[in-house]
Amino acid sequence: MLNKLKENFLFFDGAMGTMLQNSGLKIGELPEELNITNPEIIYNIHKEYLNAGANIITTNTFGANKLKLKNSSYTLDELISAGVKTAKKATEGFSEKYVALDIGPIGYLLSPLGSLSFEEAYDIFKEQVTIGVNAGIDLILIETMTDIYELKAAILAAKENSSLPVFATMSFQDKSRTFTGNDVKSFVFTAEGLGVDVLGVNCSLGPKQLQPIVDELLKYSSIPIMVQANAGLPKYHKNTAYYDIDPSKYSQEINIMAKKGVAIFGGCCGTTPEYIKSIVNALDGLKPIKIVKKNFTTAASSTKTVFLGNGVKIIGERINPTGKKRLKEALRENDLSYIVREAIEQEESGSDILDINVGLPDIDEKEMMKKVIKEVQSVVSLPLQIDSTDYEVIEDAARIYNGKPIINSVNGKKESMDKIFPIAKKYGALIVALTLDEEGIPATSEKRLEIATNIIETAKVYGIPEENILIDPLVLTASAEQNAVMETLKAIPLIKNKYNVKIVLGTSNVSFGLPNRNLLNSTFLSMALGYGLDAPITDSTNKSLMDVVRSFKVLANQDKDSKDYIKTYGNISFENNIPSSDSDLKEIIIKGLKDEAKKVSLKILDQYNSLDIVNEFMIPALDIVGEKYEKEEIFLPQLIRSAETSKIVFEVIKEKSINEKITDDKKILLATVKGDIHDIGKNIVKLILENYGYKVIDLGKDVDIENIVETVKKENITLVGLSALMTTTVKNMDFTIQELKKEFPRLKIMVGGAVLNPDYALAINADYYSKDARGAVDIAKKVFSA
Amino acid sequence: MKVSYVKKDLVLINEDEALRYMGYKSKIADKETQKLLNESIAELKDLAELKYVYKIFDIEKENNNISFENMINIKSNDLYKLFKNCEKSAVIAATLGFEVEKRIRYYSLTNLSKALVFDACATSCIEALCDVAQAEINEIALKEGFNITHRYSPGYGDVPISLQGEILSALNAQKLIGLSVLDSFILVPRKSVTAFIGFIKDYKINKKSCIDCNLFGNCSFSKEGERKC
Repeated sequence: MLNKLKENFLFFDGAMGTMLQNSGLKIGELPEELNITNPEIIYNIHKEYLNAGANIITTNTFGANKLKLKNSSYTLDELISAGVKTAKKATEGFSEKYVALDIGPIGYLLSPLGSLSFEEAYDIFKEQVTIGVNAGIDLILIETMTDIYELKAAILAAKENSSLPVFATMSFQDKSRTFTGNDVKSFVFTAEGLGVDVLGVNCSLGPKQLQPIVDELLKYSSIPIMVQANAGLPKYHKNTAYYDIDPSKYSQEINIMAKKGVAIFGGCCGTTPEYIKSIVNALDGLKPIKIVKKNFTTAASSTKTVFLGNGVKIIGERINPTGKKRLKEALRENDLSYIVREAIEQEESGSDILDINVGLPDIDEKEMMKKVIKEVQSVVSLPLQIDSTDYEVIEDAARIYNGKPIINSVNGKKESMDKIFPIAKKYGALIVALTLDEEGIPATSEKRLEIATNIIETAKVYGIPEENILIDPLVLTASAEQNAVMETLKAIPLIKNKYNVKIVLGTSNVSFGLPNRNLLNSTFLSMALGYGLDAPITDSTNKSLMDVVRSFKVLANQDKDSKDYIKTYGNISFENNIPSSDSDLKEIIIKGLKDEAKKVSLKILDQYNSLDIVNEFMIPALDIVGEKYEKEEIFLPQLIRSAETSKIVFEVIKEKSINEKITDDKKILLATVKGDIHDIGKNIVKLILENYGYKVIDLGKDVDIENIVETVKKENITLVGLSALMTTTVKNMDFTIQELKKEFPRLKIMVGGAVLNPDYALAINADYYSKDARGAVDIAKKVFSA
Repeated sequence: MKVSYVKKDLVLINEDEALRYMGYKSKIADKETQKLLNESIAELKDLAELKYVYKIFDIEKENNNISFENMINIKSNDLYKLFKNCEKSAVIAATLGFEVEKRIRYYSLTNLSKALVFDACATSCIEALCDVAQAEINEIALKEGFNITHRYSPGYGDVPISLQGEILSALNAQKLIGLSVLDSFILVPRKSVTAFIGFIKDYKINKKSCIDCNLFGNCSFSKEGERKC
């Protein structure tokens, strides 16, 4: 079938739902049940489409998944098998007609937006694929997806449990984004990387409105494109929808698409066999346009694609524990919010991609890597670079990553290539390739080219194209091997002249062991950029390095009209914004002056030790703020701002005196209970408790009971705070308390949240109810003084 | 049935209401909070994808059961009482979209004071969007010779929020406006509302009463004697 595609257009069928509606049949909630209760009608629809000229018909199984059919009296196996059987029967007597297993969205949102895990989604799709394959389908059509993450689970399920062709389409709204914000480019590069055979767009809009989306698909894709448009935009008459364009207008638009390069067509909502017939006729005599391979080097999240080689791109290096005490501590303590803040800071300071390395000898790197990736991807839109020396960590991370990742790294050693290339191929990842091999790092640029050549050629054997490789020619330190520094740089043009690969480089090693490292790093960075470095792996929060990058982009004609440069530097008044010497830390906290807090506390650290700052400035300030709040002189946003200011001071102290003990070991565990995703209130409680010196272990939202129980045991917790906002999730609070009390009879539990009150708290056996964050502090004081 | 994408300038965020959600007794925000309010409103204008879908159903009532053409079935004394003289009901679902949802999550991790203000403004915004939908429904009702009741949502009184799934599928809201529901019946994006509006002959609109609310006896506004929200 795929061979036929090279020479001819392929035609899918049109809508199933519209046909069922037109049949006048009263359809219940589950149209898939018709596969068993009324197969004739399904058979007839298939037959009509085949007669109209469709080459491929799709089974009536769009919503046939475990979750949607949980209330059906038929099993999933029965419904899908019957659907496939009917479709196959309809193709009898025709030649060269195929049956596609139709797979639509699960209907439940995946985490982090919803609560379905990636693994659960995979299992649901796997079940559908396995039944379909056993029933004898010819290909798999994953369609109407609005979330790339869900699509990825479906593609993996299809590819790992069948060897059939996989077609994948997403449904975009009029701004060329899906409901969840996914864009066309990220879809193309992610799906193509995962190895689908055909990708495209369906539903939501008519063919005319889809033209700009089609243009974008064609611009970036190197595989065939399919389009299944609606019959125009829906209009409503009373409660029924109808669509506003007829078959001939529809096929005019399709004709335009065919001439642009689309090769596979079908219909979606509102289309009937007449539409299919009309497009088959309209394309009679035309041939599909030959697809040109595009060779872009891209990394993507689900909402953002970064093109490498198209101007300097920064790969942020800060999430890597090597030499960073504070990050090590955060990793050991499972403090994901610290890591997320690091990610956000890099995004805001100009990183284009973030490197993620969580390797520490005493933690479970695999679990931590997955957690960090999920957490960072839930708030930061940048693509990520998975950085580990452990192949299993890399594989697991590449699997659960949402989008098209970068893997850091492979090298010229056979073992490394044997392990990394299959992973990179399967998940469509870019790969950072280090120019070292069994003999170590070579001394000359020529030898670096040799190793790069070996890596690039070996990758090709695995089906990985050149453009997916980022060569790192490895920087050596000037203090130890001064004569080697230029060899690294000279390797850059040598490699780029021979191959269509991009160059990355961790630049800050060069200055190791010498004074004024920043100066050396900046100079080296500008040299490397001049030699053709595409993406430095560096610290975007470092101002002087970013100065180099921004000025380079102007001089290299990458920052057109110096727009970004002027935006950054045009309005800076170079006066020093140092607060007057008498600004008092206490006042700053009371007034909630977040911007001044850091500077003043850095200054004050010269005069006071950490504990004095906490006891003489922070606690008294917070007490005053608390009183004002009680008296309703200030309100919640102001209280929180003071608390945030105080937290900034606290972070400064912590950074400077990481070995000094400034918090007591008064640990409190906080969680929003299972099923609930509201966490602003819980985060406020956390912030205020931290202000008062309590060490808060925050398990986040939608937290499993077992996770809470285990953490209480592991961390030896005396006080737990639980939050729930909904009447429906309060019952999970009840279950959580029951479990906790069973295991730890002496544990104290406080609860809070919109639907709770003291009576209810008592009824579910909580020890304390607090109406707000201030109340939680009073409870904590009571518990820990007992 | 109608699906609408609403122009942003039609929906006005009520600052006083937003302040009240944040616990302000006075209607005057301090300078810094006012700044956050202004920022939040500007961001909402930029980010919100104001969408709603509604459908007008014939309803049948029997023994506290209300059937919306058999697509939604509700057992509820409270709604039964409100709909006592209704023959039809509009069912609406409205949302601000995922970009607002994502921004709330972002602020709740990075900037809590902003999170609080932004969340309150978004709540005010979704209510304002519902007002727009309701005004449109009111016109339809008037043309057909009906008045309308006030909006009544799952979670009020004894109308269970477990209805959310049925409502979304009756309106095809997941496909049409991208609105989903979690197992815990939380709508996602969270700044979304579903509601019933009854069509009634000769009816004077009563002010929405606290007794109808699921927070009755436990609401921070009524605790403070305001008796309205």
